[in-house]
Amino acid sequence: MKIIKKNSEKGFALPLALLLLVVMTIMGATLVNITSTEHNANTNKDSNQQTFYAAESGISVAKNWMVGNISKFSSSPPNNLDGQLRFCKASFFPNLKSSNNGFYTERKSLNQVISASGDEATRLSNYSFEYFIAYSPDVNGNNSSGTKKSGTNNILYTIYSCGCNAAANTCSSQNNVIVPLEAVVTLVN
Amino acid sequence: MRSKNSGFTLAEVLVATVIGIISIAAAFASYNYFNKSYKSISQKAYINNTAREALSILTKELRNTGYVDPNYLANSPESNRTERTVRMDFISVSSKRFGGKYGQSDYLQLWYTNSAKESHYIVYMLQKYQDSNDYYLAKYATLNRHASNANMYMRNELFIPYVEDFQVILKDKEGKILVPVCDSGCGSVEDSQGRLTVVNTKYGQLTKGQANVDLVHTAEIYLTLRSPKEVYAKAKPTKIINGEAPHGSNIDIPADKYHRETFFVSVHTRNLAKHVAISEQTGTSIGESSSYNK
Repeated sequence: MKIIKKNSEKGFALPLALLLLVVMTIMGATLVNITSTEHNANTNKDSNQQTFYAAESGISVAKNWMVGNISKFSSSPPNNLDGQLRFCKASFFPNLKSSNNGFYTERKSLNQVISASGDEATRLSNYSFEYFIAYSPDVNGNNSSGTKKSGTNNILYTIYSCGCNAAANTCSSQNNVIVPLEAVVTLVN
Repeated sequence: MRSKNSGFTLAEVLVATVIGIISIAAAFASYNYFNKSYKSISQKAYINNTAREALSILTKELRNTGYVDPNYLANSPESNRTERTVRMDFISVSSKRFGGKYGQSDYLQLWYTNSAKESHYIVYMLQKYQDSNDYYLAKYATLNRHASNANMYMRNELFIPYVEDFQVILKDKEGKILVPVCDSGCGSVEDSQGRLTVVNTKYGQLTKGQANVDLVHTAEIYLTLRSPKEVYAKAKPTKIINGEAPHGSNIDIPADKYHRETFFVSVHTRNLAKHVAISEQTGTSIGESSSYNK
């Protein structure tokens, strides 16, 4: 009496195990993929956030410079700003035609304005801002002359600040994340 | 001695069967495990992804809220634009209006300009899916709302899927909760609390809700999302507490198998409560500033 045929020794355990293994490998690979995508997205988000704060630091540094250099605002702007700007261009600001008519520009890495040491200083040195201060542009984007805030005698200035996720001297608008930010201010005596 | 065809002994067959069963069981168990973590991770990643994208848009809009381009008032195609009428549009939160599945969510309206001739009026509210009892955060956006050719370029767009709760809590500089902050269309709670109270401001007489707009320093957003599909093997009840009572939410959800996560952002609404920077040496100060984030 043949209870077990030779053929039936092939069984189903091996193909089943192989099939499950393949399915699990695919799932595992997808999981790794999802996780790494998420990780990257989070890192990017974090970097963008930091870059935004760098742009904000630019605004406050610019405000400080303004209140310390009131006299420089009594005459018209010295011009020729475009050549001095490294990564913060007028084209980032749709309401401004040219950044040429500006009073002042400055570019710094964050470790130059925030004192820190060790890892924190390294981290800060990888973010920078560049700002320029100009008359607020008119409706056509021209800012060669100043306009006054309606109902007052105060001239409107705009601080254009760009944050960058690289050091001030290496940042380029092609390769880095640039966050443009603008603030309209007046000087009050 | 066994002949070639004599097969196996009972003991051999038993041992082989047991080993076979164990290995198949192990394979299935690990498959199950993989499958479960795959499901839950892909659902969690989905939630995270949508929340991250959506909140960064919402954050940017809140930062810009109340930004009036210096040339806007003189050049806007919209009718009746003055400092007073414009600021009425800035921001408004109605609690428990379009409250979603659990009736406790908020309704947010905000407004900003991005050039001399363009203003954006944006509304967020929970809306029900047509084919289920769940809600999504819907976005409405209108270009130049008060112009004759106002263009609602987003109408009931699905902004964030499967939202359980959406809370907007506005705070002043000291961190005190501001209620109400609204123009028209505040919910009944605000009506009885403050809309009828008249306050004198530099813009003339305003209701308390309108006057509060100038005090908004921070906007805190709580967003509780649910996974679209069931994740857990066992049902368990959920409790959601967003914000501080009585202005937040406190929701009890009966046991189910969904995954829920709450996201929180706090945004400095720089164009609403404005500060003045003063230089110590000269006494010169930077006047009210307004800023725009492209």
